[in-house]
Amino acid sequence: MKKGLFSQKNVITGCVLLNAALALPAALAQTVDPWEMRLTAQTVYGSYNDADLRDSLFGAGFFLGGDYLEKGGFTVGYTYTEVDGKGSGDGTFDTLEENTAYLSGKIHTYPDSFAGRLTWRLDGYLIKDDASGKGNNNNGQGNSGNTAGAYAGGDADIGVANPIVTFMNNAKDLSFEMGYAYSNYDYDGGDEYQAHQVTPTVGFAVGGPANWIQLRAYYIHISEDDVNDGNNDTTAVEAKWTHWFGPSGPLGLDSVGLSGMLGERFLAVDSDAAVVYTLADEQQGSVALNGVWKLGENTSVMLQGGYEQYENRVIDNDYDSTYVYLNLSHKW
Amino acid sequence: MRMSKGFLLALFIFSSAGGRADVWSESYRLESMGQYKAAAELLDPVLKTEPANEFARLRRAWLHYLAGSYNDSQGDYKAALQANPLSLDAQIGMALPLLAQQRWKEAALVAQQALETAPWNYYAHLRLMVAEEGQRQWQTLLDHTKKLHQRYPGDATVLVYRARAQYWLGDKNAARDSYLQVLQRVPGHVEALQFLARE
Repeated sequence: MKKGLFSQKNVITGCVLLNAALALPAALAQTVDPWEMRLTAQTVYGSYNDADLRDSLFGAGFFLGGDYLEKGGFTVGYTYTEVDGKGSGDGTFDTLEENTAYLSGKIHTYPDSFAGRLTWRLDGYLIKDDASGKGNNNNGQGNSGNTAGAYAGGDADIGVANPIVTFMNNAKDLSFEMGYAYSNYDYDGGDEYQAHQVTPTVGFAVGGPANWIQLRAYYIHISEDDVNDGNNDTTAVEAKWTHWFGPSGPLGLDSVGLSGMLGERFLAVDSDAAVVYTLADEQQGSVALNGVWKLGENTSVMLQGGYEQYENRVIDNDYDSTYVYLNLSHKW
Repeated sequence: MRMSKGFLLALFIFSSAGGRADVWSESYRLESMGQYKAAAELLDPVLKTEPANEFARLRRAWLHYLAGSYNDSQGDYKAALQANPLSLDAQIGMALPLLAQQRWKEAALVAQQALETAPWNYYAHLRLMVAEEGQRQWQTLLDHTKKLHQRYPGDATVLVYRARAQYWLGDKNAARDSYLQVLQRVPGHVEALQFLARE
């Protein structure tokens, strides 16, 4: 094989020699790349307890994002989710499969009048559900609602637009956010309905930058009464606490996070996790604990375990689930 | 008649120069009192009549920065750079409002542009160190401070940043040594004393 005129090694050596010849500080050899890219791979596994219809959940996906200096950025992502059902009678299902495409863009502005940064973000989700069922009173969406839609194995197209504006002060110890999510659910041969969600959020540091608390309220309105057995307005409050350790955290941890949710939340859009809970029944509480480990300056691993409570109002089934979530993130 | 016209002209020039001098001294007086916005506004008419006055542009940029008007500060530094692309004052100054807005990468980029023409300029390196710390690039910061310490061995600030990088990289003994060197240069250095008392 013919060797190129300039091998990679020669080019690097040449650059080093050129820097030396020009007396440029070696520190300058590492110039700022205006783009910072990040790739995150994630997976989740959960199992249901006392659920009449559900057995387990599995999901996997990735996000690829880029930030251009501190001016803005984008993220694209894909997630596959599968809920395995018990599939043994009417109203049951074997498998719910969901493919989610995610696209997000954001720009930052720095108005002096607010003494901080405003981030204007727009998230979009295109979701395709594919359900295989046996029964006749499940609409295939997994949340088992909509008793009027007597069709099993229904496929669905779901689209979500989620604009968010966030303010972070220059000291980075106070943040306000307002989000609105419009979700359109279109089931083949069945109903079409919409979900409107408003999420005011406040975040603040406690006792210095090592602790951050975020409080978020969810107000969700579903356009059709029968989707969730008449309970078409749900509200919930979510709290998250994150603590960053110094260089010698316990177990080598970089940070830990504890989160919890109280209230009722149905068809929610979680902009932090980039998740739309299309496959879930009504959430009635959750708690989760996570840890993040840094593997060098550019790579991190997050492990999270959680417990969630649900109610399927249509069949009057209270149940819960436990899950474990893992992600690996690398930036360059 | 000719003499009286010449006298009036001389009087006008004198009074104009005196008035302008008053603007500068008043601007400095207001700055010393912490009235940065008022000090900057005093320069508005100067720049209106003399838009090419480079020093007035740089000074107003600085005062806007002190007043927390970071976008106005960047606007003046940009204008100064467009008028004089070789101005290190403008390049290094531009990093200040960017750092205040915690735009670490943009500040680092500006500092590095200054270092391309002035490779060991102390203030450009200082801005770059702050940006590296803001991005938590501890290894990059440590390497940077080691090189900078060779050029500025008597400087305490470089050693403080070296100590912080060593601490966050888990080398507490090296950080302790660096802070001890800081105390040789600034005996009452608060951060060094706090670290040595804690660790």
